[in-house]
Amino acid sequence: MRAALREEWQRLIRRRRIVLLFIGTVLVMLLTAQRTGQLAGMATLAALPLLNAQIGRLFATSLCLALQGWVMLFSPLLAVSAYMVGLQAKLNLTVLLARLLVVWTVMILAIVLTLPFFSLLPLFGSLSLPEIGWAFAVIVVTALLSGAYGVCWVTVMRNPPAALFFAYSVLALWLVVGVLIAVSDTQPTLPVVVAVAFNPFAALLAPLAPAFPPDGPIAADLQNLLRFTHGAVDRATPLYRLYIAGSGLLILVLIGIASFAVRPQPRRWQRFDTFFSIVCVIYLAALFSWRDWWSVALP
Amino acid sequence: MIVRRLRLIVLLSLISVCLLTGQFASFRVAMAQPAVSLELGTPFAGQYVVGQWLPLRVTLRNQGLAAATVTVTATPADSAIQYARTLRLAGQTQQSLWLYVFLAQPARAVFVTLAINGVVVDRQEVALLLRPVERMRAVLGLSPVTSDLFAAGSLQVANLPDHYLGLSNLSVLAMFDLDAPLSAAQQTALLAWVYNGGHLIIGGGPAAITLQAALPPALHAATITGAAVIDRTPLVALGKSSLHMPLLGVRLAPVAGAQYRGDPEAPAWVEYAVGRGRVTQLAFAPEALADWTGREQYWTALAQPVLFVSTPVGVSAQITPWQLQTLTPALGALPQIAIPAFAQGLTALTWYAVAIVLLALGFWLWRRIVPAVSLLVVALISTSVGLWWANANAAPAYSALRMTLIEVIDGERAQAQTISVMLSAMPRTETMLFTDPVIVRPFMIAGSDGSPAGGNEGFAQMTTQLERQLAPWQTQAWWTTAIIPAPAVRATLVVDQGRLRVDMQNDSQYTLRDVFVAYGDQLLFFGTLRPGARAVARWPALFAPAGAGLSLGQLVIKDLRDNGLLLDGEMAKETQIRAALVDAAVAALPTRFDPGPFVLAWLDRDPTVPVQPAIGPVESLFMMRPRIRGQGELSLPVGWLRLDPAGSQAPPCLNGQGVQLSGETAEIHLRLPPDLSLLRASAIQIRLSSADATSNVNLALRVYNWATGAWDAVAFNPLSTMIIPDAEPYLRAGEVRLRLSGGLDRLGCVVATGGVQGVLP
Repeated sequence: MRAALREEWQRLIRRRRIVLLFIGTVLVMLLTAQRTGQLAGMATLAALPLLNAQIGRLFATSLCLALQGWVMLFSPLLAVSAYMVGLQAKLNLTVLLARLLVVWTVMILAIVLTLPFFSLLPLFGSLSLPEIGWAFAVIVVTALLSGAYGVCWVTVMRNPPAALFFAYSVLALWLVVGVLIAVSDTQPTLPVVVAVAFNPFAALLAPLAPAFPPDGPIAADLQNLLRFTHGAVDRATPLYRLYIAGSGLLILVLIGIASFAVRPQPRRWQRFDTFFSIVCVIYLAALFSWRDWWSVALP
Repeated sequence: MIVRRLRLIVLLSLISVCLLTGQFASFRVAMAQPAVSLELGTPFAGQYVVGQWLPLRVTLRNQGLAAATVTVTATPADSAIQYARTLRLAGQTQQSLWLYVFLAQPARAVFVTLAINGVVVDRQEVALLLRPVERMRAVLGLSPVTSDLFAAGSLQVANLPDHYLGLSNLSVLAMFDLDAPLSAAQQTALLAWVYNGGHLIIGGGPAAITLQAALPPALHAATITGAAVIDRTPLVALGKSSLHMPLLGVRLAPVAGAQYRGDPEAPAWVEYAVGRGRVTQLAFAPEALADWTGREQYWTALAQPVLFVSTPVGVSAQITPWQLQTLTPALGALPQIAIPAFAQGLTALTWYAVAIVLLALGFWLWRRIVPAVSLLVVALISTSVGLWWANANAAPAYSALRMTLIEVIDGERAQAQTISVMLSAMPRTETMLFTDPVIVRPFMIAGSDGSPAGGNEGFAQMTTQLERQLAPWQTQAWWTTAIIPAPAVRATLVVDQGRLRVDMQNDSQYTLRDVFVAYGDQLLFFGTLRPGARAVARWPALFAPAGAGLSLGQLVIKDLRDNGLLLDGEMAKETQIRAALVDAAVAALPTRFDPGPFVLAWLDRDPTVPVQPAIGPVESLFMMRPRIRGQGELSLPVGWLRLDPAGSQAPPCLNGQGVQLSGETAEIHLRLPPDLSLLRASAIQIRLSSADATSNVNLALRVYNWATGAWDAVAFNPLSTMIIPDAEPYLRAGEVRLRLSGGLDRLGCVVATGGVQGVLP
C-alpha cells in the first residue's frame, strides 16, 4: 500500500494540473477577497449599527462559496489526472485506494492553503468559531465527496474525457435540480428538505444563514442568495448535518462502486471487502447512534 | 458438585444482598426527598392595572428532611415571559417571598409553577381582575366607608409588598391601623412608591404616633405636638355635609414644605409633597367620622390619585411609564460600530498569494518534499499571523446602549432605573452584573417587539446577576430597577442676603459632570464636581426667558452648546440621549405643578454595575430635589412664580407650556415651590406672554385678595411686566390667583410667570 501511495503521489505531482490547482486556488480566493472588499467599500456608505458584522458575513459567505465551487470544479479534474491511459491493467483495489487517498490529500492541501484568507474573518467580529468550523467541515466533506465522485466515474468509464464529461454533466444537473426544487417548492416537505440539503451550496450556507442580517444592502444580496439555495426551507435548519451525514454514506457507496468496477473477473471476496464492510457497518451504526444530530434538519 | 452448588449459593446470596442494599438505599433516598408545598396570595385580590406589576406572595414549606433548591416561576397568560425567584430551602422550614409579574397587556390569570431541583412539581393559577387605576385604592386596617371606594380593604402588614413595584397598581394607600411593624424593605417600598406618584393617607387619632413611627422620616408630613379639637371646616368642605360633633385628634405641626388644611393651630390634615406623590397626614381617627353622613363624599374627595399619567400602555398613577415613554425615542439609534481597516489585510493576502505562487512553481519544478512542506508551513504561519492580527483589531460583534437614571428619594436611598439596549450579529449570552438586587423586564422599543429571543424567556428577580440570550439581529432591550445607596451629594438652596444661594457638596465617590441646578426653565451651571469638591453660586437676579417650546432637556443641551461644551453635530446621538434622560428625570407633566428645583448631573460611571460596560455609550444621570432653607428677606426673580395647571381653570397648551384661555373670564393660579409657601410678599411681578400679540386685546386683570376674599383690579400692560406693590394679601401659601377677562379667545396659549420680593419667616 505504501509503495502504491508513493507511486500514485509521484504520478500525480508530475501533472501540470497540480500547480494549476494550488496557484488557481490561491488566486480564486484572492480575487474573491478583493471583489468582496470592493463591495464592502460601497456598502460602508450605509449608516447601520452593525455594518462591520454585515461585511464580515459577506466576506465569510463569499470566501466559502468560492472555495466550495472551486473544490467541486477541480476535484473531478484531479481525479481524472490520476488516471493514466494505458495503465488500466495495473488498476486494482490497492491502487484505487491509494489514488483516492492521494487525490484527497492534494485537495485538503489546497484547502489548507486558503486558511489565511479565512483568518481575516474575526476582524469583523461577526462570526463564531462553530459557524465557520461547520462551513469548513462542509467544504472538506465536499472535497472528499467530489474526489471520490471523480475517481468513481473515471474508474467505471475507463475513459478520462468521457468520465469528465459525464462527471460534470451529472454534477451540473444535480445543482440545477437542487436550485429548481428550492425555487419552485413553497412547502418545506421532507423530499424538498433532503433535495435542498444535498445541494452543496445550500449545505455550506446553512451554518452561516441563521445569522444573516435582515436589513441593509448586503443583507439584500445574502437574502437573494438564500432564495436560490434554501427556497422555502427555514434558514435556521441545520442542513449541513444532513449533508455531512449523507455525504459520508455517498462516499462509501462511490468507493464500493469503484471497487466493484476494478476487480478482475471472476469477482471474489477479498480482504478489502472485509475491511470495507466493517467501515460501512461502523458508519451506519454511528449514523444510527447519532440520528438525533442529523435528523434534526428533517421536518 | 458440592463446590458448584456452593458457588451458586454464594452467587445468589451476593445478588440478594445487592438487591436489598439497593432497595434500602432507594428507600433512604425517597425518605430524604424534599416535600415542598406552595401557597399563593395576592394582596389586592388579583386586581391589577395594565402596564404595572402584580405582586404575588409566595409561601413555601419544605416538610421533607433534605434541603432543596426551589424555583418559583410566574407567567402571565398568553405570554412567554417568566418571572422567577430561586432560593435554597432547608428541610422542615418555611419561607415567604414576593414575586412581581409585569402585566404588559390584559391577562385573565397568572400561572405559577414550583420546581424543585429543576423538576416542576406544582402548577397553580391565580385569577386576575382588571381594574382602572383611579379605583385602585387600598387600606391597611378597616375601611372607613361601606362602599367599594377602597378596592382592597382590611389589608395586614404581611400583605404589603417589599418592593415599590408591588405597589405600582395602587393610586392611593390609606394606613389606618398596623397589626405589626413595617419591615425596612416595606418602608423603602412605601417611600419609593410615594416618590413616584403614590398618595399615602396616614390616619390620626390614638393610632397617629404608632403609624408615624412605622414610616421613614421622609414620609412624615407633620410632627405631633399634642391633642386638640380639630377644625372641621375642611372636612365639611369636602364632605359637603355639616358636621356638628366635636372632632378630637392630634395637633399637627407641618414640616417645612407641608401645607395644612384648616386652622393652623389644629389643622384637620397636612399635605406634604414627596417627589411626585403626596402624604396626607390626618389629625383624627377615621372611625371618628363613622356616624357622619358626609363621610362617603369626604373620603371619595380625599382619597384621589395625585398623579394620573396616560401612556400608550395605559393609564398609570406612577410616573415610571411616563419616564420610560420619554426615554424611548432616544433608544432607537444604536451607536454605529466603526468598520475595521480590512484593506491592510487584503494587501497582506496579496503578498501571501505571490509567495504561494512561487512556492507552488518550485514544488512542481523540483517535485521535492521541501517545497511541499514550505507551502504548508507558509500557509499555517500566515494563518496564525492573520488570526492574531484580526483578533487584535477585531470589531465588536454587538452594539449596545445603556441609560441609567438615579433619583434620590431620601438622604440614604436612591432609585435606579436602567435601560439596556443590545443588538448582536450572532447568538450571544450576555451576563449583566449589578451592585444591588434588581428586578428586570423586557422593554419594547422601535425595531423590537419586546418578544423573547426564542422560546420562553425567564427573568430572575432580586438578583445581582442576569444572563440574557441574544438572538442575532434582534434588537433587545431590558428595563431594570433597584434601590441603591444614594450617592452622597448635598445640595441646598439657602436664603442669603436677600437672594437664594446654592450650596453643592460632592461627598460621593463619583465625579459629577455638567452639574445643573434647575428651576422651571432657569438653569444654573456648576460644571464638574470631583469627589470632595464644593461649589457655591448665587441665584441670578435676572433670567432671560427661555426659548418657547423647549423642554428642560433641550434647554440643558442648548446651554451646553452655547457655552462651547458641546459642538454642533458632534455626538448627536449622545445629546439626544442626554436630553431624553433629563426630560425623563424631571418628567414635567403638562397637568402638574412640579418645576423643581432639581439638581441634574452626569455621573462618571454607572453606580448600579460593578464593572462598566466596554461597548457602547453609557449615560448615568443623577437627579435630586434640593430643599430650600433659611429665613429673612428674599427676592425671587421672575420665573419663580409659575403656572399651576391643576389649579387653573383652563386646559394646558398642546406644547405643555402655559394654558389655553377661552371665553370671557378665566382664572389662573401661580405658585411658588412648597418650601417657599410661607413667604410673605412685599411686591409681586407678573409677566404674561401669549402666542398671539396681546396688544390688540382689551384685557382686564384682577388679583385675588386672600385677606378680604375679593378680586382686586390691577393696572395691566400686556407688553410689560406688571408689578403689584403691597402684595402681602395676594400671596398665601405660596399661591397667587389671577383672573383675566376680555377677548381671551384671541390670546391663544398664555404663559404666566412671576417674581416675588418678601420675607421668609
